[in-house]
Amino acid sequence: MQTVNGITYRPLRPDEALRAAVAESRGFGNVYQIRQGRLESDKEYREIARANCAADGEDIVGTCSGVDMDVGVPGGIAPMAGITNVAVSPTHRRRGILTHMMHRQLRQEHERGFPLAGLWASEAPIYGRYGFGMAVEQQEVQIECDRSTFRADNPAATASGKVRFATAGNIRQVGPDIWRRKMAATPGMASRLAPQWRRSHPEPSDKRFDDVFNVTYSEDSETLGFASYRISDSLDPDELAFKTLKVRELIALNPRAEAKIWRFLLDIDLVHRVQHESHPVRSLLWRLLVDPRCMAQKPYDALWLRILHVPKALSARTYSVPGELVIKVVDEFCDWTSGSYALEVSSDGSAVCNPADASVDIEMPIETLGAIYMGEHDLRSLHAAGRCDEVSRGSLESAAAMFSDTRVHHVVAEF
Amino acid sequence: MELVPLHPSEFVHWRNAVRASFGDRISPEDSIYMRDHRAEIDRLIACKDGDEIVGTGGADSFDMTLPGGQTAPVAGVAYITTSPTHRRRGIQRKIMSRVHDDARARGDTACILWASLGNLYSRYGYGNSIPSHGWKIRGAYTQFSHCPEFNGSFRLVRRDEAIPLMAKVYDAARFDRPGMVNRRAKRWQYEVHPRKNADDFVAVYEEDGQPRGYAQYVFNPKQTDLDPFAMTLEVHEAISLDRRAHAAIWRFVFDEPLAYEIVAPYRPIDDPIYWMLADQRRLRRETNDTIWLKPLDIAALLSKRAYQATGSFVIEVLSAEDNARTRWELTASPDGATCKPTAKAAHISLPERSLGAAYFGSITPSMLVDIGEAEVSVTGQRLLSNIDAMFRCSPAAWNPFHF
Repeated sequence: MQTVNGITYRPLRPDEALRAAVAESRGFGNVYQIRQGRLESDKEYREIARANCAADGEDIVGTCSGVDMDVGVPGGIAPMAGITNVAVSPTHRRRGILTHMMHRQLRQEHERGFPLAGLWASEAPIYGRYGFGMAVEQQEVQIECDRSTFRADNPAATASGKVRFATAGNIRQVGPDIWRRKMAATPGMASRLAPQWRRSHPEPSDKRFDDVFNVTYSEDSETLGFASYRISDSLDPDELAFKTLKVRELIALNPRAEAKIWRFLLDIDLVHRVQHESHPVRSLLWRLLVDPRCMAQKPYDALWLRILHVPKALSARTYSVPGELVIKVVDEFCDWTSGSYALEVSSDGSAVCNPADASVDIEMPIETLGAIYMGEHDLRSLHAAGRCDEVSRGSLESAAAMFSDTRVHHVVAEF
Repeated sequence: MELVPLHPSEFVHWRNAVRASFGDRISPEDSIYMRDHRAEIDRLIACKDGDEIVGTGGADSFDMTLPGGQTAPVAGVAYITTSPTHRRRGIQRKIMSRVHDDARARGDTACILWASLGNLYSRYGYGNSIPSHGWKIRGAYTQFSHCPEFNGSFRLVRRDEAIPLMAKVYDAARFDRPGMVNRRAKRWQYEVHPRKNADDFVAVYEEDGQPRGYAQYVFNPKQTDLDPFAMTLEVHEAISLDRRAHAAIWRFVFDEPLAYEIVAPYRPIDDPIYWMLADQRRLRRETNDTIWLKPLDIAALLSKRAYQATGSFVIEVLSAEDNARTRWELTASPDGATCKPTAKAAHISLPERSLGAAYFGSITPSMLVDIGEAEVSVTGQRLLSNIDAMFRCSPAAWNPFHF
């Protein structure tokens, strides 16, 4: 507990769940509505989180939580503190409350041993100042079904498995294992915890989800993928009775399953347009299409990443090419990460990273390291934007090559 | 019907046929100007039905930058049309075949093109090779949070004055960006001319009296509810020699007070602007296919490009024309590469369109395997992630020149 300028920063008490939910909703511009199951689900979520708050006397005026998560990184999985519920009441803005809450939360996550913290930003300019870098993008896509023929030898053509309708309960049962396996191969994909599964796939008795379809794809008895979607009438008056299908999520463990589920969704009768808001940038679907122009792609920022412990973070991932590099990290917000670090990548791509006194090759602020950590973003672009300094000649090119990762990056779901 | 080299006396007739098939018309004066400043008559083909030109095709000769900075001759395929009265008779296939034969005979290493439709060219061995971003951003949200320092000056220049300054920047910048192609002196006069873009402005950024970057742009009306006089500033081309000039040119463009919004249809997918904006989300981006590539001289293309990872493997390429398979042994490291014909078993086997798609790194060989566009042997499977790393291209390929 700490009191600064009349505001007390402390852990949330269990009996304050409703008040915290109300305060958080206000920060996001919503009036908190107690609907069936909602408070229970929010409570459950806050229980797994390290929920903190800012209080002005009895009033909760700020909320901020950290959740134990994992995240796919190049070559594996690493622990990540998922930062969420971040909001400040409009009555208490511009007093540094967010900065205080964020600093406390990040220190707490660091002390608990997390090398990484990640979040979804309500607005893009907010979190750079706290050391978060834009790490993994996604894209909003829209496909015209009638033009969406796949290439001749596509994996759906030879897929032997079947797409079947499933219940939300089925998905909650098979989903977690598929999710975990997908995460290990997908940099940027964050784990989904039990309360989140109950939120993403609730029973149809929950009125907000009574129009959701669920399907699975299985080969023999093994479930290799699932999708969840809604179908709605198009609002475009020129399109008469056309329907639009919105994919909520689609997870597939191999290209056969992915292609087959997409083919299923694109071929549903009456539907002429399919939208997917959380589609990976390096899209398999785009490359399956004979005519790539039947799919519009609009990338956006998804996972913002903050390095909390440089050696732990940098040795948790693998690298594309071997090499040695001394990186000087500058961190004004969480000063404990500031310093120089030697990164040694061996020929199998694994790495060791330790604090070092050696002469520096490349210098960058912590948010730049967060932005390149997942391997989706080219350090050269950040350098050209003035976000890093090449100290020893040639180090920029080799650092950019080492950190790059050509896998499909995908965050999938907000948390 | 017969395929014939274009006779110079028929140029205006031929040009009318090209434009009509793309749905527009052109004046004889504009055609003559195009003939004198752009066309390479001996690369142009007509398909004639009696005296009527019912199909057209051809290419412009370019020198293209490969990953790593070396360049190679390529055919910039264009003018591919069939008269609407003569569709579905195989005319396009014959024209494409002639264009490809001609390019091979001239020693072009690849054919590149901008496709009028997305489903036309993969059948001829072209792969979706260089994507780009279209940008849209409101002028009010263009503050930079990060920006390399610059202290040069800006000038708005007349066209005749602009061309040598633009050419100086472009000719040097193109070597730093894989996918860019050269522009000859006459081509500059064609591209920057009132006949083509009467309303364009050219702003040049200079340091010590030397041009370092430029933007060519036009204002279009953009009526909004709040502001009936609002304008959209459309950037046709913005090229810079280094990060200072890049920052300077875009700050200049974004600061145009008349611009309610700024659009740029073809920007590189790794443009540093994304990392300079205080509010990154305000840069609305859309990803599109731009350059399609068909490899012709595989040994030259693979041996002259740079690789960021070290490795050696055998690649088998299936021709789109005759299904012939050729195999090549590529040995590469960041220091250089060799590519020679081989009889050894292939690690990876793919159609030439897929090599075209992967050449600039926009799709990985792994994903080609995933979508059924490449096959790997058991050993190839083990090499695959390293092959992905080898083919990565940094900076990302880009071609701003809509030829």
